[in-house]
Amino acid sequence: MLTRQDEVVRVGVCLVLVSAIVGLIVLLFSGNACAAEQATPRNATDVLMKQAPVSASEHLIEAEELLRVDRTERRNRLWMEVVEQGWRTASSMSPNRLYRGGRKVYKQIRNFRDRSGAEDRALELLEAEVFAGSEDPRLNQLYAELRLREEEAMIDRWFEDVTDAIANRDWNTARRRLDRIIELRPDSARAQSLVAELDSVRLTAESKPDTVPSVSLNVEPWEAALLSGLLLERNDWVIARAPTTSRGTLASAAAHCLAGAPRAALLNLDAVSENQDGSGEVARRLLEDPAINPRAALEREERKFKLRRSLGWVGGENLEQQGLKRSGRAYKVWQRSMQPLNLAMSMPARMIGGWTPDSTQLRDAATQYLEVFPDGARAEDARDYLAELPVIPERGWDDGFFVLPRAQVAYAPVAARPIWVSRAALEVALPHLAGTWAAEYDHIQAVLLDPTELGYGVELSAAESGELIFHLAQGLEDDRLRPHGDSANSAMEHLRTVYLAVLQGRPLRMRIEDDSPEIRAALAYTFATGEATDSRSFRMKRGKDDMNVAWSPGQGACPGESLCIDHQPGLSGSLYASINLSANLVVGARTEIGDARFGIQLGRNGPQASLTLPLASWLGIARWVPLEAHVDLGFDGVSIGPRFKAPKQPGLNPSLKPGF
Amino acid sequence: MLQLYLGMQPLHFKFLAATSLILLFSACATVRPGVGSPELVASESAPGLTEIVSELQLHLRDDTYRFDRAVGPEGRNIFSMALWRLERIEQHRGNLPATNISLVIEFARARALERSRRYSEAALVYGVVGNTGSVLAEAAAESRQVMLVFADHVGTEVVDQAGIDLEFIDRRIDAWLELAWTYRDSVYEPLAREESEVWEMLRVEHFARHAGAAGALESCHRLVQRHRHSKLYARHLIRLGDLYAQAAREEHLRGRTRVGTFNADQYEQWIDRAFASFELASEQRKPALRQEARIKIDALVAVHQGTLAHAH
Repeated sequence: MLTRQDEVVRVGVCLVLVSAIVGLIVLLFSGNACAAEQATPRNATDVLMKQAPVSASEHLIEAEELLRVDRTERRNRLWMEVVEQGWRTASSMSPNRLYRGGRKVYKQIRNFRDRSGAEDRALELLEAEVFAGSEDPRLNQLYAELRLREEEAMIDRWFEDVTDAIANRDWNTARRRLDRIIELRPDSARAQSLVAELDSVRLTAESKPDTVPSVSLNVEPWEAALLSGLLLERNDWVIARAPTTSRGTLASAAAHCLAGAPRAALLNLDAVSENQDGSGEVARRLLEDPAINPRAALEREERKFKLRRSLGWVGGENLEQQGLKRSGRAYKVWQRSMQPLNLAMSMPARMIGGWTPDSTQLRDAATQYLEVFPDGARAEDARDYLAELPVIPERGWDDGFFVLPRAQVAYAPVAARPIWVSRAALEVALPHLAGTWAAEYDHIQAVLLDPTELGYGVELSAAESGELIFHLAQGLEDDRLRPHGDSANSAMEHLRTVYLAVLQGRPLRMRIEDDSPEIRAALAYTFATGEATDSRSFRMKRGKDDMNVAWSPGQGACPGESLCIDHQPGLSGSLYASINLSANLVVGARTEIGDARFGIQLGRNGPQASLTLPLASWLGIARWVPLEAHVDLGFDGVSIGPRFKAPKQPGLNPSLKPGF
Repeated sequence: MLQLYLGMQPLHFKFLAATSLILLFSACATVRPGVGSPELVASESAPGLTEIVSELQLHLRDDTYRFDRAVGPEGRNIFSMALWRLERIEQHRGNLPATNISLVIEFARARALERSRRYSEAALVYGVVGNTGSVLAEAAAESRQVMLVFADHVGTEVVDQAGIDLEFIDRRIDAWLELAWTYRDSVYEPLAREESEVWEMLRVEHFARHAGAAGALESCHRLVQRHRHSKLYARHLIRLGDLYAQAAREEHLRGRTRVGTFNADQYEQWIDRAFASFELASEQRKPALRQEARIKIDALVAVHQGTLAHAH
């Protein structure tokens, strides 16, 4: 009888044998696979010799091809989902996963005929020909169909906007959208009913006597003298002589206000505001004015602040801003906020961390209150607010002078930016450098290539700069070098920009930097917001009910706006950990060799090992069947199966799902 | 028949019928009459002279340069509303003999005209009141003097667009600033500051028209610097952002048309400052301007993406 240990060893040996056989098969077919994935090369001479511009029929063919490819991709994706769902059903997976998979299939079927970016690109190609007066019936027909679909999608979106705008009492937006819909669809019954609804809702909301201003001609005998006194600011005189009618009390309130007696003014206004006449309406309006009634303004801002703070504790800034709206977006924000991990971890983190919304209006109300009622009943509260609530410093001013700060919005740079190159990368790109570093530069980790106008360092000649950039680009293309945090395309674009600057006469300066960039601390941010954090070597992501962390040693952080180039190690690896609401902690390590991934982890179920082989990619069939072979080994036994999709979370071990 | 049909006891049916009738009459009583016609209504439900003057008087001390306080329902200007109502009352009184009430109406009108920056009209109306023997005459005469000074600064001649050069604009700005200093700490200082601000804004447009966006940047910086406390501060920041964005676009076009070499550093510097200006505007208090600034940021990002495609 085999012991458990013997069984594990036997399985491990089988694993190695299987891998070897698979590797042999792949080696045999990999050449064909690579060839199969290459597009059919066109005759370069024919392409270069062709002088005529692209014709309408070529545009039509290109547009039809775009749509065909898009349809094919959608069909393939749907088929993959259906096959994977079949696999899940056959392998008796958990009902939860079956349900989620089924929902994905349903959504794909439901959205199958939705518009896509391919239709927009096809429209761009066809529109120019249609406007040029093309008489090709096929082209015109296709254009008309695509245009109709575009209009219908736009109108659907506008209908949603109208519904949201009416719910949020944004009459102008609702009216603008409806006018546009009716312009395109004059017979739309839904639009007509929404117009009627908008008019009705708006009339109900705005039917106040003052909507159409009117005046009363009724002038009392005492008004001439009293109003003269009010206009001349003889306030004591007005207060003494004002009758106790509604109008007289209002005049008295105004005089009290002007005389600096806000309490008396408020008492009078409170009394008049009960009346349903012109004086009552004015009094109610004046009571809304924070300068006249700072007490009510303070209470109002206090209520709003506390409500927004509560919403912010539950769902962060998103919920604070959207939580009270009646829209689809607000519903989604509420849905995300109700996730268990958010309620269990992020909400307490925000509460303990003292998260507060923008308190500017509450501070203003408190300041206004203290100006009018320095010794009022709420004066202490107002002072507490001013002392405790954070003051957002006003940006853009330095010692009384207006100075624009750097922009915070992220935008793609146009100008040449500095490039950090690690010593190892330099030696890979320029092998003749290896072993030639002088003794005093032995400790050097990286060099900085600075093409900026105010850069400093040793100036390289144009030829030297060009050669250096060329070798770095070559290293990136050959995969001997890798960019930190940027895609290969972005890195190449960055190099190209620097190269152009050099061609335009901007010198490239090199200087030696000892300090390595520091890793940005992001733990608290991810805890609080739930958003993924990526500091190049350290990644953290909060899922619906788990938290995942991965650390790839050897990858430093890259200073903002720079390109960082390092050598590509033959073997890359990372450590990871995951914890879910059941307090099931899993720690592990994984490594990648080419596209194959191997990992080991330790969790509640004991040690587990996993091997993932991207067979479809090696055999050149990934385009149709993105299949990976997936072998898991643990105390529970061995499982082998296909995985149909590439994992979505690079940096975390996809083949070892925590709790598996 | 109904009682039998419902199968109710007679007492219960009577109670239900009585309750229904009461509810029906109550509902009728609460049906709101239609929105008032634009005609004058002789009822207490509409604001009268006391209401108009009380509300107007409470806003006459507002610092209209720094705050937008004098705003009524649906965002209407209090002074314009008061002026319109007073003029309608006066119009209705028509040929009635002048009484103290007429003088009160005229004086209040003059105050509203003054706050609406219609200085010469305000001076005229103050003059009418000042020539009577009423208690308002002395105050009207004093205010008239101030309004004449303001009207004089505005000038009576119609200025030809071609006649507005930089020197003319700078003279106006200096004159209004001097007037603001003269009437400092009074209710007239905000008016003078608003006038100088408007001329400062025109100065920016003058540079933009004659020297292009890049040439107007310095004057816009000056506008922002000088009017930091204005209620239009966010508006000035948005204008500054627009100018920087325009300058960046012009730099890009210069490169594309090969009129000059595309200076990527300069372009990026302008784009960055445009974003920074809009960001500062989006941090101010007014919701409408904050939204406008955010929309401008999104729009500029999209424009910049288009520029990237043709940058090199």
